[in-house]
Amino acid sequence: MTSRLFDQLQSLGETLVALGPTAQAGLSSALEATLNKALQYDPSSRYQLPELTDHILCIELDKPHLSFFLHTDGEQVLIRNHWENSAAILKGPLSAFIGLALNDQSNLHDSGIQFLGNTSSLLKWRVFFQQLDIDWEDALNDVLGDLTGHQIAQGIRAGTTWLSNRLSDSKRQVEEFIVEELRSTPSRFEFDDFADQVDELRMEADRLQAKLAHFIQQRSQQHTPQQHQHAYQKDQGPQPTDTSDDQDL
Amino acid sequence: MSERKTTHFGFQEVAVEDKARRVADVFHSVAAKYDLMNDLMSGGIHRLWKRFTIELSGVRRGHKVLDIAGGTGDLSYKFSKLVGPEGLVALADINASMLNVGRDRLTDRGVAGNIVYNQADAQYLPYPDNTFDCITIAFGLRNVTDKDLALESMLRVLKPGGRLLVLEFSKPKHNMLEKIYDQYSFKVLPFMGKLVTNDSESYRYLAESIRMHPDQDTLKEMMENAGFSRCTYHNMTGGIVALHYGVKP
Repeated sequence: MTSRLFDQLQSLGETLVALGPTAQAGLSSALEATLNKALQYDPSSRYQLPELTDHILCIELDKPHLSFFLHTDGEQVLIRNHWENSAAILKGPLSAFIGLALNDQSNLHDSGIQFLGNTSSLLKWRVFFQQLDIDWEDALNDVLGDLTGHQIAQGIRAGTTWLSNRLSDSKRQVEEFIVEELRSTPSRFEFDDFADQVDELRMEADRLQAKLAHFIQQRSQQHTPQQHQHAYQKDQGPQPTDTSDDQDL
Repeated sequence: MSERKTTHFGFQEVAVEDKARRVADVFHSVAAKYDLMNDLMSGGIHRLWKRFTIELSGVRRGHKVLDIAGGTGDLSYKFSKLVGPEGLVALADINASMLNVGRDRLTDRGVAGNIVYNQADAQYLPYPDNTFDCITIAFGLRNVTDKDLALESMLRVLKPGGRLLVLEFSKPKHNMLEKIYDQYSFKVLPFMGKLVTNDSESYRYLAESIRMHPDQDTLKEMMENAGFSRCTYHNMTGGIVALHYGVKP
């Protein structure tokens, strides 16, 4: 189902590219308006925006081929399709960006996204997005009034909590069924214990290897002076014997 | 007796010296409701065309920008924010009514300090050589009597490396779209003009002047002949509008 959604989004993006600059400008304009509208309900994030001036972030999609440049003007985020300079570039397919957003992953490792440019600019934007805390209830209140907005928000919160609990329960039950009933995978504790044992074995093997290396080095140092002396004797021929004792006699 | 030189005013042939006056009459008539009519006629899409123009302009803090035929100041407003207090925007228009509307509108929006208003003819720009980093002319070139002369004048006042952006109606790239567009231009536009400004003739002129304007490749060639390099164009909304781009070598 997820891959079908990715395919649909990708084909939508390709249609957008085919429609040309007007459609792309329409999309970036809509995204910009939505983001700035949402930021009205998160004043603390909005106040941080001036710090992002000059830290232009480019999100470059491979499939479909679309670019979005994020920068700021005072307490507003600007999204453009064309810009000439950017401090940081994130490159990858649309599916990788969606995956990154959904998985709540905090690094780009194995995400399919390539990074180019200034790391500090990227970190600033990451902090900005991580600290986003939009007061959706306030937004609902503005549209529906305080009482209705609050009741709907309570309903949404209760629904979200229930759904989150059910998902978490289902995940745990499936995990238990696979581990306990089917016995097709070890439990987390068994796996952790096995991983600890492997770690211990690896450390012991490392220690043994280090000891062996040390032993071999010691042996080679002991052998070296004798071997040198032996070689010297071979070069000089037979040495004269000391006869002083005989003379004394 | 020598023949009088003529040029086109929509589908009519008029004396060269009469065209400017007749174009001025059109814009005196529509100035008060120019923005409203633009939104109605284009369904608001003219904002996306202008947004794309700004993205390609490459205008930065401290730049000097000339907005020819700037009319009610849509582009100048954005440019004044981009260039900041260190930069300068010159909003030029041959028509005093349009310039007044633009000046009032921008002043009301708090734009001051980095903007000047000049009543100027695009063919004889009253600025020193090599003054501007960027020149834009949006929906103005087709009303200029001698377009080649205007392009040469723009080249003169641009700094080397500066860019010219010409946003103008052009030739649709698909036959079906062209037929629909023709019906819309010659039937719907004058009717809307009659309803909103009580002036259908000015909007008939608009439709006719679009048909008489050079197509994408011809305008590109005219820019190259004037001395611009790296000339290119982007079709928008199926070629109904094109953005031409050129750089002063």
